[in-house]
Amino acid sequence: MGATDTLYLKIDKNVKVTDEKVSLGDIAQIFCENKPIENKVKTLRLPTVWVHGPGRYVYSILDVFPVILQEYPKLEISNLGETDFILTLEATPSGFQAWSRIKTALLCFLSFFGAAISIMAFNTDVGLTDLFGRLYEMFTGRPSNGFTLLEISYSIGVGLGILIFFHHFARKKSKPDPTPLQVQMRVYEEDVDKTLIENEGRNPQKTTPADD
Amino acid sequence: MMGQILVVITGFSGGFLVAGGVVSVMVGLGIITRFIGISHTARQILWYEDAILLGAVAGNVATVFDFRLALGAWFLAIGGAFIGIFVGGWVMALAEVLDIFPVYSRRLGIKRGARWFVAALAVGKIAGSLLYFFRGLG
Repeated sequence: MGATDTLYLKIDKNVKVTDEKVSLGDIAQIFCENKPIENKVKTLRLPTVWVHGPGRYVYSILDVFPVILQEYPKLEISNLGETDFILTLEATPSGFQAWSRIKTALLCFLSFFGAAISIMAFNTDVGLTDLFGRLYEMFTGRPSNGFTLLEISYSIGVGLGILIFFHHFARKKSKPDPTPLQVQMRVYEEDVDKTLIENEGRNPQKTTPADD
Repeated sequence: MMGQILVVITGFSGGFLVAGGVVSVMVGLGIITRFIGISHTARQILWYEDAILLGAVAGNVATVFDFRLALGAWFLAIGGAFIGIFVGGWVMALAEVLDIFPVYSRRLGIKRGARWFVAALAVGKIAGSLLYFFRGLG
């Protein structure tokens, strides 16, 4: 064993686990030239005294260092990842599946009616049917009966516009770009993580209850 | 003939751009993503996109064309509930984008009781909505 071995540690901002017994190998990428040290460190336990049931728990990298240093006091640790991270303990999937499906179905309805009311509100707000009638007369010289090529092509345009907006045709590719909704989802999750970590500095209580 | 072609081009381009605009406002305000976050169903995100697509097309057809669809009062009741949830989220998301909450809580020095504030807002919105529809304020 060399005089000083360096251990490289990389932890993501949000780590998901399903068991309360968490070893460092579960939450971090660990690399050390000295393989026995690397393997041993991977099996070390993360302190989980304040973890009670599923939820989000904020950790600092300083909760992790002492665990490693206790085993290898001379080891030099280099942290390449986050200094604060969130441990998400997920509920076990049994019995949870059906509820999750119901929630998905309800949210699909919400998305459906939400999108419908958005476009209806827009169409009504700008007085689209009147406008279409006048446009039709202007372009063709004949009065519109409210069921013309203009309405049909507009409706096709709306459908196609959303298909392309959501990058719908890319799903068959092996590695498609994320869709706008997925990007927005990531932004939201990062905001939540950031808020949780910063709130932690404000109150000394260690746990954050699950939000469901 | 020329007129018909112009009409098709205008309609198609208009629909295409309007769809992009309306959907990006809807996604950008973060109502759907917040509900997805709360329900922990981010894996099903592609289903939600399909639902948005179908909803927008259906809503558009319903407003642009004049026709009758006998789905009955129950459909309206259920649909109305979902529309209400969505619009409620929309209104609060708008308020949040404009930073109303942080500004007032700093100006008025309110540090606690945010939940009462939110509850009062919700009750106020319900009262306003009921007055609007049933007392003919609209």
